[in-house]
Amino acid sequence: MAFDLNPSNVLQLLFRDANGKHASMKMYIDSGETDPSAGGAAAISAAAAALSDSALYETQILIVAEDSSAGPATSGDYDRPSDKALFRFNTADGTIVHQQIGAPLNTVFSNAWDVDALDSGVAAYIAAMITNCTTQEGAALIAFDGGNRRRPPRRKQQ
Amino acid sequence: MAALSTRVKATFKTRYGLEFSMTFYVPPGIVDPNDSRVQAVIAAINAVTNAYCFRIEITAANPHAVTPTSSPDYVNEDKAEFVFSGEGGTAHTLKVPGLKAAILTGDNETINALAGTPHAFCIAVTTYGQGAGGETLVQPALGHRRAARKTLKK
Repeated sequence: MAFDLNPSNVLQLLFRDANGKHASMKMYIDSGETDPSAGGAAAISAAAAALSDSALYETQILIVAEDSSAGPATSGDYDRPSDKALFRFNTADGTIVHQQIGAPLNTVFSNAWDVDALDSGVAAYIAAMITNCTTQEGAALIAFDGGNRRRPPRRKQQ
Repeated sequence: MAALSTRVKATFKTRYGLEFSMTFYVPPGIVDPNDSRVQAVIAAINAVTNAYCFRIEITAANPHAVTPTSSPDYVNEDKAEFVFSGEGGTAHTLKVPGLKAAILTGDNETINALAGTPHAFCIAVTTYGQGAGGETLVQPALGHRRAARKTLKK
């Protein structure tokens, strides 16, 4: 599974004015620009900030890649593609991180509703999250707290 | 300010065409979608779903500790608009919100893009910016003030 980078990255500048309103400016930059604090991103950020009375509070670089050989999706027993498997993780700073996986396999659940942490696929996913991921503020994920199936309500007939 | 964690958004497609996305965070400095840590999480998700991941979007963010000018002449609804030219005459419009009054000429509507800080901005864009496919941008001679406000209901 290899993802091919798009030819350009997106540079996004986020502004906030004295009234607290937010605005943004987006443009394309070279795919080699990946550090929002240096190079072209820093130069454009500084030049844009010099034109504005608003506060440039964040510079973002968006890098997009697509798998040219992805798919097809496997067939298998799953009740509805709109179902989600909700996972909760405890973190080092005391917050709870939620993750929802769509179209979950039936093997993810122990009784059709509760996530089965002993399932090999579930255990591998939990381990990958704890090993590789953090919260938005950078705190580590430390443990799996539990999970369950979420099913969106059907639209009521009028 | 310290760099924020890198946000990774993975988009999946199910067998019957429905799409869903998942967002998770990895340590700052990871900017390659093929990074082993990102791919480890994607592979683990693929193993428990009937969908497959076909797109990854990574957002690297750098926060700035700044405050806006109090009582400014213009707020975010007013923007400094610059229309750059791409190959084949395509237009690439950039708007900087909350423009400073000092960059406007005497009519309070036009901006001289060939001098001062507007020119420095245009030089930065033409040097480091490009079109979606990598095309070179050419700076304009003038910019304009654009006001984006909701019309009053009659």
